[in-house]
Amino acid sequence: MISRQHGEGSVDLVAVARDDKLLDLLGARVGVDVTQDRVTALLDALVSEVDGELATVLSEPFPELPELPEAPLQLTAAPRGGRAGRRAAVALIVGATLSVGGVSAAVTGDPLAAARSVVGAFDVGKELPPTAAEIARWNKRLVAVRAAVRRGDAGAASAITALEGEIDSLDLRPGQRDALLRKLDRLRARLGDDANPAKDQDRRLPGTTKPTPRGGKPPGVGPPAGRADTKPEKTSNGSRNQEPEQRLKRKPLRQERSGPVSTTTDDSQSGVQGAGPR
Amino acid sequence: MGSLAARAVAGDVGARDALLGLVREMVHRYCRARLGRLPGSEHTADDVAQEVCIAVLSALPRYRDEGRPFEAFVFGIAGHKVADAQRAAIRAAVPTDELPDEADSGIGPEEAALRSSDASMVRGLLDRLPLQLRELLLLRVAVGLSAEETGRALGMSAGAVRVAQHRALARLRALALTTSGEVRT
Repeated sequence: MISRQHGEGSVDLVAVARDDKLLDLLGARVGVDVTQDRVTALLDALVSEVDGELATVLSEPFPELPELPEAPLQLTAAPRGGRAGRRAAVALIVGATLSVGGVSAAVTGDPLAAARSVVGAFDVGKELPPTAAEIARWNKRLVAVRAAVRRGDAGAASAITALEGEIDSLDLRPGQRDALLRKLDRLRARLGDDANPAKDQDRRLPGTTKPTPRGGKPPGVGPPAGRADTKPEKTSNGSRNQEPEQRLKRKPLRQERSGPVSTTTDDSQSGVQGAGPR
Repeated sequence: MGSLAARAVAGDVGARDALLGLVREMVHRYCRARLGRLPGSEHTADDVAQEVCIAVLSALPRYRDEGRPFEAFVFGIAGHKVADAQRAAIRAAVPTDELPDEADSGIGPEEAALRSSDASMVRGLLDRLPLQLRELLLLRVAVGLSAEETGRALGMSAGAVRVAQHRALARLRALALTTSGEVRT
C-alpha cells in the first residue's frame, strides 16, 4: 500500500486514485461497473435520475436575455448627494421596476418579466444585488398576494404573514427591506379595510387612505397615522414576533418621507409605470 | 469558464451566451441532485435552476470585483437558491395533478419506486455526510466537474479534493453497509 500522511492520518494513495477515476467516470457518464460496489451502483442511479429528460429541458430555448437599458433616466433624476443619493436612486429604480415588472408579469403572463426588469435596472446602476432573481421571485409572490387581497381571499392574511416572516432571510439593503415591509403593510391595511371598512380606518398607513371629500373627515377616522398615541407598543424581541392581531395594527418600520424612496409604492395604479426602465 | 466570464463581463454577447450554455447544464444537474426528494421536485429543480441562471447573469458584473473562481461564484448562488427552495417546500402545500381521464400506460408505482429507490437511498446517505463532503461528491458525480473544477468551486486544491472525495466515499460505503447490510467492496 502506498500511503502518505495527509490531514487526519495516512492515506492510501492507490485507493485515492481508484476513487478519483471512479468519480471521473461517473461524472463523464461513460458507464461504470456497478456490480462490485454498492455505492457505485447507488451513485450511478443518482446520475441516471439527474440526467433523466435533462436533454429535453436543456433543448428548450432559454428565455430572452435582458438587454442593457439605454438611458438611466432614474439616475439622472436622482437627488443630489454622492453615495446616499445614488443608493436612493437605486432604491427608486428597484421599487419602480418591481412594480412595473410585477404588473407586466401579471398582464402579459410572462413569468420572467419581473426578473428582466430588475436585471435591467441593476445593470444600469452597476449596484447589483446578489439576489436580483430573489427579488424577482418576491415580486411575483407579492403580485399573487395583491391579487388575493383584491379578491378577498381568506388566505391572503396568512400569505402576508408568511412573506413578512421571510424578509429577514433576504440579503437586502435597508432601503429595499423597508420598501418590501411597506408593501406588506399596505396590503395588510387594505385587507383590513376591505374586511371592515368602518373600524379599520385607524390602521391605514400614510398613502393608503381612501380619498375623502376635501376638508372633510370620514366618520370614525382616528388620529393621523404616525402619531405617538397610535403607535403599537414595542415588544422585547421586535415587531417580527408579534401576534397576527397585533401585526395588523403595526405601523411601517419607517414613516414615509418625501423623496425618491417614498415613491416606490406597490400599486400598479400609483403611477410609477413611467419610471421603469426602457 | 473564467475567461468566458471575463469576456461576458466586458460585454461580449457571444461569450455570455456560451457561458450560459455551460452554466445552465451544470446548474440543472446540481439542482436536480440537491432537490430530487422535494415534493414535485422535477419541476422545482428546473425552476430553481432557471432562477440560478438568471441570478448569475444579473450578478455577472460583480464577479470581476470579487475575484473568485467563476465556479465558486455560480455554485455559491446555486447553493443559496436550493436552500431557499428547500425552505419554501417545507412550508408550501403540495400541488397534485388532476385526475387522469384514461388509464396510464406508463410504469406502475411499484416499478417507479424500485427505479428511484437507489437514487433516494444515496440522497439519504449523502445527507448524512458533512456539508462539504456532500457538495464535493455532488459536484464530482452529479454535475460532472473534474477534481480541478470542483476545487475551484469549493476553494480547495485538486489534491485536497481527491483526498476528501476518497474519505467521502469511504464514509458513504460505511453508511451504506450499516443501512442495508449488503455492501460489497
